[in-house]
Amino acid sequence: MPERDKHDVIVIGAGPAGAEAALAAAGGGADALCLAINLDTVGFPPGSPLLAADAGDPRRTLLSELGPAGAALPRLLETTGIAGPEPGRVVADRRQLGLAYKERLETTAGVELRQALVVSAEATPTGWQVAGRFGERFDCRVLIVAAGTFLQGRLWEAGVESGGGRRGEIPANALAKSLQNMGIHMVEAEARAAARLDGRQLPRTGELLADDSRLGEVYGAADAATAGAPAEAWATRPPVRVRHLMLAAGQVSAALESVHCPGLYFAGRAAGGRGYVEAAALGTLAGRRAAVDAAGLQAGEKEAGAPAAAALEVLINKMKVGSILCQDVAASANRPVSARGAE
Amino acid sequence: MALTTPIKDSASRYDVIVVGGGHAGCEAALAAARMGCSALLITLSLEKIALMPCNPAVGGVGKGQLTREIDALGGEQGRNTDRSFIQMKMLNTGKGPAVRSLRAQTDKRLYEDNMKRALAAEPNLRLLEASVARLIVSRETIAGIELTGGQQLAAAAVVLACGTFLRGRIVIGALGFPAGRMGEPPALKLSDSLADCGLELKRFQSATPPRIDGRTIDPARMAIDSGDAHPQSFSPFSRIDGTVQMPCYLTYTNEKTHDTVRSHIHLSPIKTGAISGKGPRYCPSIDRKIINFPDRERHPVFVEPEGRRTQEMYLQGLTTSMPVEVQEKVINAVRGLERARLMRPGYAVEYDYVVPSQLHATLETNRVARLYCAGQINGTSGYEEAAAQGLIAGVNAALAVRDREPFTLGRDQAYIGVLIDDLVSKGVDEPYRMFTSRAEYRLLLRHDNAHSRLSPLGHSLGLVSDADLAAISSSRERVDSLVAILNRTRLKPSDTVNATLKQRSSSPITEAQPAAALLRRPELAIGDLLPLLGEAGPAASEPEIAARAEIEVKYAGYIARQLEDIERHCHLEESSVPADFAYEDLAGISIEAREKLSAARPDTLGQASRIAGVSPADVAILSLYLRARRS
Repeated sequence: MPERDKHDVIVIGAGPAGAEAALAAAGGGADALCLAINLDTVGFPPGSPLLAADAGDPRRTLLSELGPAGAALPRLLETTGIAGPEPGRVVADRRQLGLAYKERLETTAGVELRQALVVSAEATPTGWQVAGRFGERFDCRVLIVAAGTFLQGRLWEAGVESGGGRRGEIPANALAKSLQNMGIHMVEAEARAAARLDGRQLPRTGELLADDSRLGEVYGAADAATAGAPAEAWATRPPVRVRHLMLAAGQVSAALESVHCPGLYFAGRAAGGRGYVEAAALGTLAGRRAAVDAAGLQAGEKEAGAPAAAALEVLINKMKVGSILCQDVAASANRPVSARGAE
Repeated sequence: MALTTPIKDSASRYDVIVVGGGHAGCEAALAAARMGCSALLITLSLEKIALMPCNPAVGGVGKGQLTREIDALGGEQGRNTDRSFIQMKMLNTGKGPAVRSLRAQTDKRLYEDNMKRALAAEPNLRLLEASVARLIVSRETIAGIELTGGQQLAAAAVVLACGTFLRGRIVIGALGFPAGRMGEPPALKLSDSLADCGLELKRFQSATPPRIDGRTIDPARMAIDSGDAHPQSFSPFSRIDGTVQMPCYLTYTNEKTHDTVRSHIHLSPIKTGAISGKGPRYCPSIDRKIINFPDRERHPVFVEPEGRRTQEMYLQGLTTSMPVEVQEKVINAVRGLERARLMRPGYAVEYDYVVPSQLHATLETNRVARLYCAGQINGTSGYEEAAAQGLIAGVNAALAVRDREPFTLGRDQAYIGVLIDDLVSKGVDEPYRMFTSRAEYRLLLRHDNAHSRLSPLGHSLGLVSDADLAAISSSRERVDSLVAILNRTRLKPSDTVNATLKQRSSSPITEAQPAAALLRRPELAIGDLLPLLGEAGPAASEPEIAARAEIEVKYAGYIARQLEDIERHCHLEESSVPADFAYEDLAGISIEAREKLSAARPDTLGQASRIAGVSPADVAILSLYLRARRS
């Protein structure tokens, strides 16, 4: 295998978790390869463009901590956030944010972005080998799975099921099987995207969020019929549910490392997180950990990690109970977690 | 006509439904909406509207003429390119005006964004992200479409612009899987529905080259290819800035590259047969080039940026669907690309297309009334070819819905006319790409006169505004006026005149001559003569007007000859053939001609004459029968 296909860290997935993981790994001195099925939708918030609500939303706190922790998201939101009628809300121009992530990945030293549909991951004496659908082979010391809603992704809309991680994008089914064969226990989860509406003739209320300005769309709430959208509003993108596999509780440590497979990390939706900002936070954490891991430090140092990563862990644990992630992470921590809990 | 009352889904009936949001679909939807129809564009992913899955470029030899004509008729591609270009260049400036073509390298993302804005700006046009499974046909007329979820939407006309998605299959090396494009699921049911309508489908394939990381190329080992310092634009109304262009790079394959390809050629889908459809002859893969041209020492490779804010670069000339690791070896065997890192592999896509001889010149199918097909679904390749068809299909759908006469363009009127006539009369045996050599009247169908030729037609369709038409007409008048001045002004054999001639190594004159006669000398340009004319003031500050006048004067003789040719052929084009003509009653024509005519059902004698297997004698007999039948 040529040297170029060997990396310290490989990240599968280039959504917010995967992108931040790759960036954080590179920031920690590792060379990171980030693989995405579709390079045209990197970093894309598939659901709501509302990333954080008003000041009471714990995501706002998380977002404010992400900058010092080295994540890219706060900085990227400076140019891609949309100012709305409600002060304090963090709404993103989804497409611009995705493009900003792609640009950041492509211009960060130590990160390589590449299109590939990963079909398997296998343990090797030095770490992992990842295989692509068209015969590509990549080696790494540490592997991060940030596959979002793509593991056995199935879309449900209007009573019809089809395979997909998002509408118009094929799923990663073989990879899901490969992980399960390794003993990774996964459960089914569901993500919902509300309808997107033709906003050109709709009155702008606080409920409806500006979405794709180029197409004049707004994002409805979970149930467009109840949220203040007029009944006759036209849905440009009908609501869709995506069922997918994600980690069961207790599968990863507080450092997001698999309890079964050392050197395998999970981040974002695949790890059980819910939400875009959470995904970015988890990705940052996993990426930093992976960099330390790949550098081959002693077990003791491996637990400590970088100061910024420790703060992030504490922060995640502080988040209001209600987020699936917090419960799972706290329950599966293999070292004592602060008893502060929710605030 | 703006839609002011929202339409409830179940009760809604659209004038025109367009299936597919690529280059053909966008033009069709915009045209129909702008002509006052209620229009709905349905596509599998709204994110991918106007995506350029191959070369992020618009225009080129033959293609630039199509884009210019689309603009002249009021379509969107030309002006969208003007808003999104990163490099603009007029090709063949050293050759005759018939082959001068404009070409732009575009910022892929910006092109998409701008087209999306154009769609959103049309109040008559709605968008829907959904999958179409079936056509609803009633009494051989389209009635609407059905989505995969079972919902039905009624329409008076439907335009299919499905690109490469009909039972699309991606292939790299020996591996393949169903997809419309890399990473995107195909449309699996619509082909069956088309077959149920009685339409014949065949398979083609198309391929795209790898993309590489621009940080890993070695520009010092390649030649720079820059845009024009003072670039022209596709739309005469665009104000474009030539100072912010991005360079492309030119390099070549070499013996090492060729050896690499040859030693792995057994893995190419061409050899393994992993791909069954016919591929485009004029856009061959590097494997195809090595096989077909074994003596060529080198093939050009253009390394083109895909946008201002991405590092991805497109490798024009290295199209391939060989295994990924072979692609990497081949790329790294090219000078300047030794360290280049692959970001996306090249791949081939195989897909169903509608045999285009089943279409009328309006792009309506001959099986289902008010069902139109446009773009790659008709067996063409290229965004320009697709957009041109989309515009014509959308226009005709709108006209049909309003019970107006259909709109077609002849071969003597536009490249768009050549394109559609070629498809409909001759059919395709490989993906069709436009070239200037396909247009026998190319001297008349030039970039510089597209708007004066076609904008009046666009205006009568309602796609070109009064103000724009007035500006185009006024500019046409200024050209005519300058040509008249050149024709009537006689230049005397003065010292000034002869000094100018001497400066250009042109022989001096001894008697007064019209300025036009001097302009016809190859060594003289209009810039040399303008200072010598008294009243030519206004045109002196309008280089574009002067350039157009120059062409018309220099090529006047050839242009006149082409116009005569057209006159002669005109009567053939105007002789229409009834749709139900019984070719089996035609005695004296060859069996092959009878078969081909029955299958193709040409609309005019002109079309009949262009069908392979139909001789001029056969056409003459048909013509006599028709004349006898009429009287």
